[in-house]
Order: sequence, then C-alpha cells, then structure tokens
Amino acid sequence: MLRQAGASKLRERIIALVIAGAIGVFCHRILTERSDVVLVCLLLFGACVLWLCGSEKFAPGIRRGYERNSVFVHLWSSIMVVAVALSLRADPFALHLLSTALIFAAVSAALNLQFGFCGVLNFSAAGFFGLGAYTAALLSPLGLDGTIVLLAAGVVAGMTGFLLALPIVRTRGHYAAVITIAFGIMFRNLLEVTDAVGGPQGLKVDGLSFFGYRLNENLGIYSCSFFFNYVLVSLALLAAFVFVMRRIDGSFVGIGFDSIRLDETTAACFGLDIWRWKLSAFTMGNAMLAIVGALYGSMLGYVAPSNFSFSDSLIFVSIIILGGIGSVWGGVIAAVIVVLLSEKLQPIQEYRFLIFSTLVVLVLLFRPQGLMRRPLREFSQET
Amino acid sequence: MPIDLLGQYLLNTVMLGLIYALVAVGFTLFFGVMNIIQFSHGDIVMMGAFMCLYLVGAVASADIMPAPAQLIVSFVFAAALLGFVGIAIGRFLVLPMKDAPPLNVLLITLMLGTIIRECVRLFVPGGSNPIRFPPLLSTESYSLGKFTLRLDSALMLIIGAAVLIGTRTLIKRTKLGLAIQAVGQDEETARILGIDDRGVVLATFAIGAGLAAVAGVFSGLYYNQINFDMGLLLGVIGFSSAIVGGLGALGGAVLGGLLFASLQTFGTLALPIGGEYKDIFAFTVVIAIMTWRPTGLLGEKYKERV
Amino acid sequence: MLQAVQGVELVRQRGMIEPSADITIRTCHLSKSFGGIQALDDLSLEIPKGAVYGLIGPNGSGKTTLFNVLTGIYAPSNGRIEFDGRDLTSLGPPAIYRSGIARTFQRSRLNLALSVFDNVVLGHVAARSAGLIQGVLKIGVGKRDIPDAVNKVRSLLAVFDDGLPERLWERVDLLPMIDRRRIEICRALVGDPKVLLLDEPSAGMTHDETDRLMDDILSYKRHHPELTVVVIEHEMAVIEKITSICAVLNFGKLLAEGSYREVAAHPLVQEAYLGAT
Repeated sequence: MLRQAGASKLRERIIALVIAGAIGVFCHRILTERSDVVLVCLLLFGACVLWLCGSEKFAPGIRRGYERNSVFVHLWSSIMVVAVALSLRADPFALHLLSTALIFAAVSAALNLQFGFCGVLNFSAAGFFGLGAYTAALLSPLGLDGTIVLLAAGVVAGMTGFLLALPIVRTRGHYAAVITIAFGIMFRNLLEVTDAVGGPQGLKVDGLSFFGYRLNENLGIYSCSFFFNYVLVSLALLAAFVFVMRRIDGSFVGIGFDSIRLDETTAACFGLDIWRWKLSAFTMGNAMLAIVGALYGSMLGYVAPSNFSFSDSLIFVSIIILGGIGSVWGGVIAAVIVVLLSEKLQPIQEYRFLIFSTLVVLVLLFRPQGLMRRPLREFSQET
Repeated sequence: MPIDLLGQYLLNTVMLGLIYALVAVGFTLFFGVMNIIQFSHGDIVMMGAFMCLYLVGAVASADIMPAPAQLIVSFVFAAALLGFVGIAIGRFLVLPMKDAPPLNVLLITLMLGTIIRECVRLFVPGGSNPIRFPPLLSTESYSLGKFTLRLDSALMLIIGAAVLIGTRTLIKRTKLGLAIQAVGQDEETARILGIDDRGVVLATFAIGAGLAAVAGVFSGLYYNQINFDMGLLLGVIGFSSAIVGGLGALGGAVLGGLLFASLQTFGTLALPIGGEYKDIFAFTVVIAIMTWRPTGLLGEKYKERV
Repeated sequence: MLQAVQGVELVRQRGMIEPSADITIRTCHLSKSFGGIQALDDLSLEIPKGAVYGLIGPNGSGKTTLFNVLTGIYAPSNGRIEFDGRDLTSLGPPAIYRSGIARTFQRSRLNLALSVFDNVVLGHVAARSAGLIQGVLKIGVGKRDIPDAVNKVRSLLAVFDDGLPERLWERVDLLPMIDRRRIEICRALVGDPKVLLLDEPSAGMTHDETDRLMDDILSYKRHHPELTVVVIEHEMAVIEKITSICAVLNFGKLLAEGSYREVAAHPLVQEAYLGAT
C-alpha cells in the first residue's frame, strides 16, 4: 500500500516536471518570438490548454496532484523560471518582460488578498503600486539599501491605506468601490499638479542595491543583462507572496476572511470584529502592492503619473477576475498572460484596455469563476 | 469679495450642481430599483453628449432650421437612442446577473464603462482629443460688471430643474413610478401583485439613460467641449453625490450634487493654489462625510433582513 | 400570583421560577421601534439559567426582533439588557458573542460555497488560541489550531448525526435542509456559549426530523446543564416537549408567561392566535 502511494507520488512528480518543463519552453518561445502571427497562434494554443485544464474534467485531478506535491511544484516552477531567464540572459527586452510578468503576478496576489479573500474592493491598486514606485524615487538620492526602500514603500502604503480604510471598513462594498476609485483618480491628479514630485514628467529612479550588490549593473559573466537581477528579485517577492497567501488560506485567518466576504452580518454575530479584519486585509494588501511597485519603479528607472492611472487599476482587477477571484495561481497565470499579450503583440497595444475589458465582461457573463476555480479547504491530511 | 464676482461663482456652482445632480439621480434610481451600482452611467452621459453632437452635425448639414431647434431635435433622437442603449444594457448585462453576487454587476458595468470610453477614444474620429461643442442653445449673454449670465445657462437651469421635478413626479405620482418603488422595496411581492418587474427595471434603465442624455448635453453646452474622458470623473462625482445624499433618495442625489459643486467652488476660492486642488479637496470632504454618516445625509434605502 | 402590567394580565407561576434561581438574561422595559412600527414594547423578561425557555406568538409579534436586539444587530430604542449581571445594551454583535450568547437564524444563513467545516468552525475563529502570526505560519501553539478544531467539530456534529462528520469537507449547498439546520446549530455551539438562541429550528423539516433534532438538542443539554436555551417556535408540540417555561409575545408586548399548558389555556393567548370569538 505504501509502495503504491510512493509510486503514484513519483508519477505525479514526473508529470509535474514534464508540465513545468513544457510551460518553460512555451514561455521561452513566447518571450523571444518576433512574428506576430506565430505569437497569436501560440497564445491561442496556450489559452485552449488552460481552458481545458480549468474545466471540470481535468481540474480536480490537477488540483489533487498539486496539493499533494505543493512544495515540489513551487520549487520546480521557480527553478524553471530561473532556467528560462538564464537562457535569455543576453536579451534585455525578454528579461524585462519576464520580470514585469512576475511583478504583475505579485500584484494579483495582493489584490486577491484584499478582494478575493476578504471581499474588500480596491480600484486604486495602481495608485498604491505607484505610491511604492514614487517612494523608491524619492528615496533614491539617499542611496539606502534595497531592503529599506522596499520596507519604506510598504510602510507608506500601509499608512495611506489605513487613512483610507476609515470610511471603507465602516461601510458596504459599493462605498469601497467609489472611495478607492476617487482616491486613485485624485492620487494621479495630485502627482500631476505637484512639482515637488516631478509633475507630469515624473521622476528618475535609481536602481536598487541589496547589501552592496547593485541590481542595475550587467553581470560581467556570460554577457548577462542586469534585468536578470530583477527577475530574481521579483521571483523571490512573488514566491514570498504566494507562500503567505497559501498559509493564510489554510488557517483560521483565511476562514475568517471568507466568512466576512460571504456574509458580514453573520460573521459579526460569531465574534468577528469586521472592521479589524477588513482593515488588516486592506492594509496588508496595499503594503504588498507598494513593495512590488518600488521594485517596478527601480527597474523602469523612472516614474510618471501616467503609469498609474485608473485604467491600470482596472487592468489589475481584470487580471484577478480572469484568473478566478480568490485563486492565487489563477491570478499568477492570468497576470503572465495579460503582460505577455500586452507587450508582445505590438499591434494590439493601443487596444489593450478595450480587449481586456471585453474579456472580463464575457467571463463575468459566461464563466464567472474565471480560469481557475478557487479550491475548497480540506484539512484531512493534517489530522 | 465684490458681489458680482460672488454672483458669478454662485451661478457656476448651481449650474455644475445641476449637472452633477442629474447624474446622481440616475445612480440613485438604479440603486433604488435593483440595489445595483450601474458604473457605466457616467460614460453613458458622455455617449449622450457625443451622440447629440453628431446628430446636430447631420441635421445642420440639411440647414433647414435654426441652431436651437437643431439641438432640440438632435437631443430627442439622441435621448431615444440612448434609451435603447440603456435598455440593452439592462437586458443583456444586468438582468442576467440578477442571481450573481451584486459585486458582479458593479464589475461588469465598470468594465462596460471602460469599453464605451475606449471605443470613443479609438473609433470616433478625433476622439482622443477634446471636441468642440458649439453653443447651440444661444450665444447671448447679459453682463453686470463681472457677472455674466449666459442665456443658455439660464435656460439650462430652468430646463434642468424641470427635468428633476419631472423625475420626482414620475416616481412619486405615476403608476410606473409606484411600480418602480414597489419593485425596489420587494421584488418578489411586486411580481406576485402582477407588476412586470423586468419591464420596470428596463423602464428604469431607459429613464436613467434619458437623464444621462440631458446631463451630457448640458455638460457639452456649459464647457463648450466634450471629450472621451468626461464620463469617468462625472460618474465618480455623481456616484459620490448620490451616496453622500443618501442612496435611494432622490432629494439626496440633488443635495449631494449641489454639495459637491459647492465644495469645488469653495476649494477654488479658499485654497492657495485652489484651482488645481479643488477636486481633491471636494472628494476629501465628501469621503469624510461618508465616514461620519455612512448612510448618507438623508439616509440610505437599504434593507437587510436578518 | 397575578400581576397586572398595563392592563394585561401576567401569569407568572412562581413555582416555575424559583426565588433563588439565577437569572441569566434580563430585559428591562426593552422597546424597539422601526419608523412607525413598534416591534418590541416595554418588554421585561427574566430567563433563568439552565432553562429551556420558549418564545411563542403570532407572526410579527417581535420574537426575531428580540433576538436581533439581544445579539446587538439592532440597538434598542429604550430599555436595558442584562446578561449575568453585565449590561449588554450598547454592545455590538461581536462583543455579545464573545460574552457567550450564540444564535441561529430564522432563514438559514450559511456560507453555501464553503465546506461544512468552514461553516461550523466560524463559531470558533474568534476564540482561537493562537495569534495571527502563529496561526498563519503554523508554528508553536498555531500548529495544533486546525487539528484541534477538526476534532471538536467532528465530535459536535456526531451528537446530531453520525453521517455528518464524514461529510466535513463537502460544500454545504449539497446537503439537505435538516443537515443545514444541524450545521447551524453546531456553529452556534462550537464556541461553548452560555446561551443558545434558536430561531425556528424546525422550519422546513418533517415531524420525524424535528423530533430527532429536539432529542439531540436535549441530549446535548444534558451534557451541558449550565447551557440556557431560548427557542422561538411555531410548532407547539416542540414547545411542549422541550421547554420548561415559555413566554407569549403579541405586538411586541409580553402577553403571558408560564409553562406551555398554562399559557396555551390562557384566554388572551388564544385570542391573540385565533382572534376574538
């Protein structure tokens, strides 16, 4: 019996290896492909595969395999990402794209915490993202270590979110919607009219450096572009976010969040101080957004108000809807797809807001659970 | 401050407040009848303005009537077209989502608003830049010192007030209005009593679209320009006004609209670099009021049965 | 002993409430109005500790409103609520739950998209022992969080039905009404409350199912004699079977109080239910 279990686990791991390898090769291809026609075909193919995976026939099996080997899957996925990055080390554009995809995936995790878990609407995700980037910009002259910059970004966003949270946590969902939309628009407004933060032109951002290791220097060995460093850091952040999210999901905190999202009044009747929980989710999510925002700003080298508009916030929200509200991996995959689609298919760049909004409308009408349905909790293995 | 300048500011405030009120009433109607947030309403306003402008262009080329008449005819057609759009939105996007979490309606209408905005930006010739909206109603104005009263502003004030009063009468006195109220209070019971609740919802969407058309045209006439982006800010302002006045209360929407406009004017006058920070100031105050009075100044219509 | 209160005769059999009995919940002149409607009218009740207290009355007599006021969902317009000597009047639902009052709802309020465990354990989340960091990272005390909770939920569900613990990880919307009622009751009991408020627990169930449920509740109570149960019911057979005292409400006022047989025989109570003859 035990040998059978061991054999099936080995089989699952081999399958996971193969799948991850295939995805790695697929992504590598997409990142380097120049022809639009081939790209569209590849992406359509990928979309079909994902659609099938999300369907009722395959999803449970995939989910079971994943849950039973989660550490292995996470480890191997990370290795694959690094492998892809290494194979693209001389291509700065591809690495920049990969890094952006990872950062947006981290954004989706943060947004899923606020919205997918706790049900707090946040339509100013780009605003908090931008807050982090601007913090990095304003701290550049001080030449602080990267960890301090990221931490500062998180703190600033946390405090701002705290102030904003006062009206949000006391009221119902639609209030959070209008308040965050208003904040997002006003934040950008504020940036554009305030010369101290660069006005419409924005500010330059120095690259980050961690403990003396400067991210913005090309690695001498193997003609590796410096964007490789950013891939590593964004991967690390994404991994940390995914870890925290899974931990929360599998704990009483996650159950509390879900209960509040689904039925606030009842959750209150069972001892949960709603405002405290919502405040925690909102603040924590905003801090996460700002941390990756600071990284993004450093990578781009500059920040400007036009990068953090309401439309960008809507793209972030679209990502988690397309991926499946509350599904961490769904958000990650959707983020990668959206970034790759937006950046690689140059002809559709202008139309990307239109395309993604239309996609979301279709998803909400016909497949509201998105790409990946959020799994039910099961703790039978722990007892 | 000299009285003529004060008068000018007052006039502008009331004019803006009227436009905001027209948008806010739409939001409050949608919430009142179905407990939903129709976030594309601001962009429908923008659509109304563009439609009217284009129809004016078409009618003007025929050159058979004076400008005000062109405007009125175009407006009627635009409002009718917009009404159809509103009904289509209700029929194909909102009603199918009735059983889904109310959040989904908010999201879907938010995305729809973006779609409308982007379509105008991308597919309307010159859509990505502001487009001039000619002063079709009248170009006359009366001046007393620094106080200038544009005739079209005066007309808009009168018409706008009439529209608002008309809407109130519609809701409170007519059969349709009572049906709207009934469906808003208890949809199932209304259905049992023989009210066509789906029809009532669609009628509400049509009314909302009509109000949107008025707001859009007024905005165009007042600013003498329209652009693809105007719906977003108008929508957020209108929605905030409706909330601060009390969602579901018509009087609250009007109060909220006037309040927001007053805050903008006050911000312009009171703050050192006033003009550029007026929106930030107004929103900050409005959000503070929402924190203090979550159900709005006149109380929100919301019932949760426990 | 008879006491006249505002012209309404109050039957309080002193034999039912012993002078030395602990009163756990006491409402003093509790009133609640919604606009023009007086839902609770100068209600003064004393609920003895450890009793099974029935609350009956025609529809709209204020029973559920009383529960809503007791649990802090509505603030009373007037009057006070005392619980074990503490004044609960101005507290909100979370604080009241933490003091030890748990409830079920007239219309089943379960999170249908979640599993049986997720729903029942909600009653336990507020009382968990590990803090946020420990609970999330599953270190130290947090390590036993979930396994302990699973065991507790399992044993509680087993009191009501042997099959339920097997279905711990299934979605609630796949289960029949009787199981959902059981889950709601378990959710209320999992936090070890001092008072259990049951709002029409038998609604939507057959006679047999109701009998079984009531037997299980009484069995639970036998193991927890300190638990006070207040039950709103329309099924008079249930009231007769499980309650020691009941109160009859009408138009938010207390009409009569006593054992089931006494109040059922009371002319004013009959008039309230059946109309004047």
